[in-house]
Amino acid sequence: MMPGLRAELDRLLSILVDDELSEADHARLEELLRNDEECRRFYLEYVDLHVRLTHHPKLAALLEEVPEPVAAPPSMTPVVSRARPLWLPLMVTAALTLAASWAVQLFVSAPKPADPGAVGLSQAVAQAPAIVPSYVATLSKNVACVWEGDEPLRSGMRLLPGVIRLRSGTAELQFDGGAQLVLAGPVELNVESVTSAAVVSGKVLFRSDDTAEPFDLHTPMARLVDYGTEYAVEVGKTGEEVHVFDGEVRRSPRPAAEPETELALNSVSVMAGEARRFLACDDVQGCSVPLDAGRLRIRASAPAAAESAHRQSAGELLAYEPFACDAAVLPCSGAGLGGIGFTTPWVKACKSEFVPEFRIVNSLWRPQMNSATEGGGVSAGCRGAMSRRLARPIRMDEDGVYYFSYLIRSEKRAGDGSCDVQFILRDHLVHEPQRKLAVSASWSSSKTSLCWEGGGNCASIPVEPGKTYLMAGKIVAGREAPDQAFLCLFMPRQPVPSAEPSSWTLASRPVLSDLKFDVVQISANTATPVLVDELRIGTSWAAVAGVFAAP
Amino acid sequence: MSTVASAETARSTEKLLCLLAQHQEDLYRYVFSLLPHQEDVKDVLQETYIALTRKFDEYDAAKPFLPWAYGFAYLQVLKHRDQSRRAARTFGDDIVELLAGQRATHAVTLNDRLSALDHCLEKLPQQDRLLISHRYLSRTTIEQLTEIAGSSRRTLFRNLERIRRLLFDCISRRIEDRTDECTGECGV
Repeated sequence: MMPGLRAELDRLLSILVDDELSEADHARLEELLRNDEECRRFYLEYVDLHVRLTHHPKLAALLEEVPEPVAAPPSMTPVVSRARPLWLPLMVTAALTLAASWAVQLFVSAPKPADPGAVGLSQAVAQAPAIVPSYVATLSKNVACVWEGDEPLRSGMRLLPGVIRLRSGTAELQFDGGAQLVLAGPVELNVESVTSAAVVSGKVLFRSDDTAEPFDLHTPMARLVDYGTEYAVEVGKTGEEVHVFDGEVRRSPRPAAEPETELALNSVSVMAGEARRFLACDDVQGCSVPLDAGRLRIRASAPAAAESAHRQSAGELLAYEPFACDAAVLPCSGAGLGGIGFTTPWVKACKSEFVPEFRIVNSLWRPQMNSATEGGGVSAGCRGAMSRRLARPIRMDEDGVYYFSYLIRSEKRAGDGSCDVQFILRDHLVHEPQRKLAVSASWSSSKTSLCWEGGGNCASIPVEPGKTYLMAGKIVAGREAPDQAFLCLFMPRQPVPSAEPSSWTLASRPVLSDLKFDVVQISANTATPVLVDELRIGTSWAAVAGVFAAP
Repeated sequence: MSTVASAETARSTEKLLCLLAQHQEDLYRYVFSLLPHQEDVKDVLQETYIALTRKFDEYDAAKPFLPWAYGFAYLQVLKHRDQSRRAARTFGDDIVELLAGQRATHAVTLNDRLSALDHCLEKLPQQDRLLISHRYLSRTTIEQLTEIAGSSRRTLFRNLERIRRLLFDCISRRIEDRTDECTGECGV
């Protein structure tokens, strides 16, 4: 079994038996069990082990051999009830149904269930249907990177499991499980799963916190397990070094090198402020070396001047609609086009049965904006849709990363009826209703959703009337790899980051699409005016959200 | 009911109870593998035992009891799935069928693995042994466990995952060693 798959199964099955499995984890486990005989075999062996442990007579004996921790105050010492003997004689005289019930109780009540407690470690990314491979990480920063391979990796790209080679520069990978890896080229890394990777060679900094899923970092000689940690690992020809800046790392030799003896002897803990060098597979303890934060605490940040220039750049903006149309009411066919990156004015959408009422009104604004907006905003009322063609389509049949953003606000009052508005991207040649990317905001149901060819997702988000929200999204397109969309909803005073967020409010399931989104559409079903403004589509986060980011 | 019939029923009841006592862990493991939630397993076993009781006069004592009982348990799992409030967190019918089929062909290995567990539990470091014992034997809550271990909730789950992995790998190595020994002895 591949190490990445094994690590993923270990994680999923452990939280399954501890009753901490989230819906997304459950969907992923089902996918693995449905499609892979080896996974099913592993699962059966794992849950059998769990059930056996719940009643293992040896555990009681072993527990008696282990002294309770002396330091623990009496109130913290748990009340331990010994395992009930599994084979208690059943009383023949009992009524059978009662006895059956009793037999169940005997077996079921003895094991201590893990307290379900709080919600498990949730993942924003819903898992893919069986036919679509799952992305596991995002290339969140890409500073002066030279990558090996025909297609250079770009910032914002999603990564499937596989080997990546960075010749020079600094890159940051944000894993879907929450952990971050910073790579300093030259480095070769095998991205295994949402919670594991293997450093083949080079320097890698690992960062995580308590909100992240546990992460396994493998090296040619060992497996590193973090405990709320920041640490660096360097893999060279003559050995490996582990430098721990925060928390604790437990290093265990790879299974092939594990001796048969005491399992405890096979790992060593490296604490914050310590560094160790390991020269061979059987070098379990390694030797202490000076901590070298200067060399190994890598940061993936561009020089300030370059960062500032990048944020100002509008070169990556594909389309911008400030609603500076010179007509008071849309559709403004024949009137001034307004905006950039469009080939047509706003027109009534083909499938719309109603002539919508879209009025140009005052523009929207956010406190963080460092420049005044152009033109006005559009106020959508009644029911209907209007659309506009893009000069450069968003192509889902080619590799690429796109971003979009817009401001939205409703003046809905209590007792008003429907108040729903959708931002839609679609292919003008495709008329199947579900084959589009739709971001919906509903003030009547306090729900925001992201729908894409059946791979949608939605969340209850407390949007309030009279407040201006920023909707910012990302679309990952793959020629052969899956396509996926993300959405972040920024509250009125929530700071907007200068780089794309490490986590998103909503993520679609990965889908396989070959559409060319060349139509932008705004659809409304609202009894109360909803304002939309500052619509941007681009190829970088800075291009669509830079204007909203704090200086 | 006549005295003869009553005596016959009592004997039948006694026999079934003996069989259930003998195989309750197998039945529990079987049901848990198809429906991995303790409360669901409890309900399904209850229904299974009742069904076995009703149909026990059809059981052919010349045949193994477990495959016959598994048939009832399997049906109860499917029935429970359809009725459960937690249906969203249960496996689909196709997966239940795949797991049940694979479990049948894999039964011998599964039993071998369990017999290797004793050895591997002894190999655990003392601290890990204490944690796993508290997790499985005592009624310690997760919150109490985090206090005892002096760790966060996340670290606790991480440690439990690590210990289960150690046990799983230890069992696998032991099974492989046995297979190697057997292969050597047989000269195959």
